[in-house]
Amino acid sequence: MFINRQQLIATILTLVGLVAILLIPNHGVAEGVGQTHIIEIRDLNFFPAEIKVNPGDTVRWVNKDFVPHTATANNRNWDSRLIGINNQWELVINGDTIEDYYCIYHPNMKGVISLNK
Amino acid sequence: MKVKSKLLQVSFAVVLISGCAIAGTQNPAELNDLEIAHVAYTADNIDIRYAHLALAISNNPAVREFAETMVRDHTAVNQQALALLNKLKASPVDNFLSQQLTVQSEQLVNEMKQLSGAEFDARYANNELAYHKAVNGLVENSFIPNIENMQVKALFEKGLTIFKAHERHAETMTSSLK
Repeated sequence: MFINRQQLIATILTLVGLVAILLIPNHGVAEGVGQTHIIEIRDLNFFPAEIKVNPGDTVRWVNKDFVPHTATANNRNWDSRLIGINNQWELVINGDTIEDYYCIYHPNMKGVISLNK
Repeated sequence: MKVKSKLLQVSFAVVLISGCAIAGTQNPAELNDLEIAHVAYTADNIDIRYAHLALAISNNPAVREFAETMVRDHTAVNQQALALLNKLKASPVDNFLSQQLTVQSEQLVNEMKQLSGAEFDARYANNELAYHKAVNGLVENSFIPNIENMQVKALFEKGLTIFKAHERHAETMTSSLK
């Protein structure tokens, strides 16, 4: 049960690290923490076309249409790339992902994501 | 009067597509489901061919993006049409309208091959707008009302939604090229 000096230092450092992790506020957003919003793509529309979200929520686009689509931020900060027929794509919401979006292939398809107040 | 009005609508659509009047008794409104399916499959493939030509010739990003969408969407629709026909154990039947569309597309491809740059882009964009308008009119006014099989009719209704979006996209493309 005796421990040497190096083991003692390693144990102290580990404990300090654990305490630091517990005390430091988490400014990031863990994936899958919040609610999941499902947007169906049908007949060249996003349903619902407008959603309100909180940071940490996940938005899932499910393509139920006849043809491939994308969900692409107007400022291009995020882009699903091609979502094939019966495929899906997810985005975790944080400060950088709040942005209206559209389908690159069908520019008249538009959606709105806004933050709950 | 209703029949006459319908025939006028059909005639107008075919004149738009073929650039010439309908001959004799050949009437799109009299095509059966399998002939209609053949026309739709042919029209899809023609637009895919135009798109491949655009991807080979054009350097305009808006034109190329539109052409890529035409290849992607018309290929997807054709795959679903073939899947439905397989399920129904049926095969599309060739007919005068499919042949007419093919002949006209050959002429147009030969004409567009001679063009380049802005001249090609304008010709391709204007044709895409006119082609989608004409085919959509034909599908909406004479095919869908006459299709007997409900699954085939549903497929055409879904397809029309997509092709109307292509028409709006083509309008935007032609405006951006002016």
